Formats: sequence, C-alpha cells, structure tokens
Amino acid sequence: MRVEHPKPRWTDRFLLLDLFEGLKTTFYELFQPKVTVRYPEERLEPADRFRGMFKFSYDRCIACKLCAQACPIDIIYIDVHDEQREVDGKMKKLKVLDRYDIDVKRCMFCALCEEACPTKPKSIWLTTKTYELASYDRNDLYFNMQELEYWDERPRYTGLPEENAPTQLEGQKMLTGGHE
Amino acid sequence: MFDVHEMEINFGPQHPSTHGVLRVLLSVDGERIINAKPVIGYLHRGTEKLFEHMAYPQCVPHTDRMDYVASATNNLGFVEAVEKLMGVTAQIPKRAQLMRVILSELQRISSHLLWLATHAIDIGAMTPFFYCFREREQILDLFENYCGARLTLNCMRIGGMPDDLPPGWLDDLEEFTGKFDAAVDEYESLLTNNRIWKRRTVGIGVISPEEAIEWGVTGPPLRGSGVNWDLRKALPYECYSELDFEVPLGINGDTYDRYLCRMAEMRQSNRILKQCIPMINATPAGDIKAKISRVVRPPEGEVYHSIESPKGELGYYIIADGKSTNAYRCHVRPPSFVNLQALPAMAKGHLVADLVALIGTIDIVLGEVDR
Ligand code: SF4
Ligand code: SF4
Repeated sequence: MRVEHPKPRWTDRFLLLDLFEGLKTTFYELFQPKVTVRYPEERLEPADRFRGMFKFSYDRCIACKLCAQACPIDIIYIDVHDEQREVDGKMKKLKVLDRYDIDVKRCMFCALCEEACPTKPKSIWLTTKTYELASYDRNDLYFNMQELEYWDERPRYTGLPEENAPTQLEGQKMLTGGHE
Repeated sequence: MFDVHEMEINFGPQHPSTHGVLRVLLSVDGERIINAKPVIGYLHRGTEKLFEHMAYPQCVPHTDRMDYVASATNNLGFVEAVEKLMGVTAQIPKRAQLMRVILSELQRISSHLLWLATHAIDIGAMTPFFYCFREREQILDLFENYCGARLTLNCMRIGGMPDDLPPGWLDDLEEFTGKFDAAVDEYESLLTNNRIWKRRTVGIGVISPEEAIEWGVTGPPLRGSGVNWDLRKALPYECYSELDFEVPLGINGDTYDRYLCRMAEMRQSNRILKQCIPMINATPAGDIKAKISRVVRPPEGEVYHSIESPKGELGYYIIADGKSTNAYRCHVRPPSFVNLQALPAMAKGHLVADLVALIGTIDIVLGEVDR
C-alpha cells in the first residue's frame, strides 16, 4: 500500500486555506472539556493493579526468601533464624524472620517479588496505590520490616507548604516507626 | 575565490531536540552541513552485560529500559527469543498471543504518538503535541489497568502473560479504537496540508531504497523509501499471519513520506486492534500461560529472534550454555542504533535547522541506542 500524498489544491496557492484547516481544529478543541488534572490539588485514583509502594505482612510471611531470589537487582534483604516453638502442643521448628528490608530507592517496581511470593494472599504486595514517595534524604527510602508494614501511618501530603514552614515538610516524609 | 570556511560545532548532548543525550559533531560551512557525525554512549548502562548475570525472567524488566517509550515490544522480543530457544513457541495459548499483539500494537500507536508530538514540536508545530499526548494518556491508562505500570510495563513473561485482562478492559479498548481514527484525522488536519510543515519536510533527508538497505535501516525510515519490509508480514510472529493489515510504503523517501507512513501505520495498528477484540473474546478466559517449568533453563544453543518494534527491527541474539539459568551472552540489535547510522548520509548538504527534523524523523530513543 502506497501512502497518499494530499492532492494540491488551487486554493492553497493564495488563500492560505491549508492554515485555516488547522485553525479549525484548534478552534473546535477550544470548546472541548479539559483533560488535564491540576496535580497536587486534584489527584487521579491509580488503577487497581497499579504498582506502587510496598506493603508487607509479617504474619503471613513464611520466610521462604523467594521474593529476594526473584528480585532482579537484589534489594530485598532477609535474615531468618530457626526456632523451636510449641504449636498446638507439639514442638516445631519454625523459621523466624529477623530482618526484612527493602531498599525502595533502588526498586524499579517490576512486581516480580510479589509474583514470586507463595502465600495467599501475598505477604508482599505493591498494589497500595501509593506513588508519592519523594523524600529529602535518599536514606529515608530504605525501609525495614516495621516500616514496610506501617508506613501508611505517616501524615499525608495536604497541600503546598506555607512559607517558611520547613518543619511541615520534614514531618511529611517522616515514616512513623513500627510498634510490634 | 569562495573559500569553504569549515567549522566544527557540537549539536547536543544537552540539546532539547536530540531526544536525549545524542551529540552530533557537525562540520558546517555557514549553515550548510558538510558532515554530521553522531557521538553516542552517554546513556550506556551495560544492559547486555546485565543480562549475563540474571536469570531469564529477571531480564524482562531490564528490557523495558532500553526503548523506554515502547517497552511492550521490547518485552515481546525478549520473551519470544527465549521461547524460541526453549522450543515452546507453539505452546503459547491463543489468548496470550492475542494479548501480546494487542499490547504491542497499542505500544506502537503510543510510540508513534510520542514521535509525532516531539517531531512536530521540534519543527515548530506546537499544537499536535497536546492532542497526541491526550490520546497517549488513554493508552497509558489502558496499560496501567492491565499491568499496573504506565511506562516500564514488564507486561510479558516467558511462556505467557502475567495476568489475565481485568474485567472491562476490552470495553475500554473498544472505546479507544472507536475514537482513535478520528484523532488521527485531527492530527493530519493540522499537519498534512500545512504549507509550513511541507516546507520543512518535503525533500529533506531523502534516502533512496538502495541506500536505506545498505545502511541496514529498518522500520518506518525504510518503508518511507518504498521498500516493502515489515517483519510482521515478512516473518510473522505470534498471530500476525491471521490478521488483516497493510504495510504503508512511502514514495520519495523524504521526511514527509516517513511522516505519512507513520500516520498510516497508526491507522493500520488501530485496524489490527479492532480485529483482535472479537478474536480474544472467543478464547477461554484465564488461558494465558504455557505449561513450562518455573525455572527457565533453555537447552544449549543460540537463537536470533527479531520483531517489528515501532522503530524497526528489534532483534535479540541469545546464547545459552544449557547448564545455568543465565544467558551466556545476549546481544540486542536495536533499531534506533542502526537507523541512526544513516544520519550522516541524510544530513549532508542540508541546513542545521533541518538536522532537527532529521533526528526527529529517524525516531531514535537514546536508551536503546546506547543500551
Ligand atoms: S518490585 Fe522492586 S523489590 Fe520487587 S522484585 Fe522488582 S525491583 Fe525487586
Ligand atoms: S516470598 Fe513472600 S513469604 Fe516468602 S519471604 Fe518473601 S514475602 Fe515472605
């Protein structure tokens, strides 16, 4: 199939009608509804599958380390130790999670860790619909086990900061620590 | 009497019209370009080397980052190459194949929209930018609803797809395809007949079919010169052989023809999408993965597989040693890198201002050029 070149029209030569053709479109679009969103004041709800900030569930996790293996850039750090514990009257060897850290600043949100997790529902998931992760210090984005579970208790961003009020910004990125 | 005062200047790497960090070393005589030499490597990330250290499924998110405006086709090329190496290409379920086709055609449209927006804005037409991004946003929303990401999709897996389509997704797609042809008409009304656009593009950067083949140019720049070579037709992959579409070919091989080709290609992609919707409705839901082992360990051997990405032939060459879950070597043949080599031939004798149009018309993405 050959592309069609537009046929030259005699009106193009002196009436500048070709330019008015484009102006017609812009004029028509002038009266169309706006599609833009005024971001910090208006927010769009991310999709249900949106891959954003992690959430972790200590109770569900079986410390199998499959997520750490699946991660392409090895940013999930897991330490476990075995423990003898009594479960239903029997002594059982259990894996206990000592450390579960994710270096979120390096994460590329590929969700391979979520896919690899064998528990149902998943112990690590990215569908929290949270995407505002900016912080003033890169090390704030290193999340340990408690922070991964309870980061959503941090204060939400509620509008542009007032003048000379850096403390508010400070609090906004602060991640309230865990409570066991 | 008339001395040639040759001067060397740098164009880029921080120039907004180079679409990234491309540096072009220009020898100019006044405004005329005598020679243009692309200098690349500013965005080199060693992706090929990274592939050697990662299990095959882990490479897929890294392919996103090569051509970051067309990540679905990058994923597709890689997973198909690995599937070919494992010999499971025939086992991929129909639904997964159709989903791959849908995603890569959407990606083709979105990549072309981004190209049109930036190409037009480089040349001085500001308005199409807004309209292109409006439709591109709808495509990105579709991606977000399907896989959760908008740009770096990571939406394909070796042996199938990660998830089934969410409910209502096909209706959204149908709505988009219904409106999209009118949107292309709208962009064309702004540009195709516009005399300024024509002055800036007609006869600029002519590349003859023979020259294009010699340079190894693929994709719309090759088809703009009138060479009928589209891997979807020539070496059909997935279920392209069952779909009805045409390959638009240019006549003169100039910037304007390449523009017309890409516009026609967007319409053809939309046509493919329209055909896919009833086909995918006829397949059983949830049948999206071939039954292969979770650990991907292809037999010893090597494979080259190429697909038609929005920018041209995207090929992956993988060598497997049969023992490990990593590739022994993975080479990528990115279309942008090869197409960029034709820039000196195209630019010779044109004005510096035309160089902007030429870089735009080759449609390069520097993430892919440097990998
Ligand atoms: S989402 Fe982040 S942590 Fe999870 S596998 Fe991907 S890069 Fe690793
Ligand atoms: S894969 Fe799931 S269950 Fe296993 S360690 Fe990771 S989060 Fe815990």
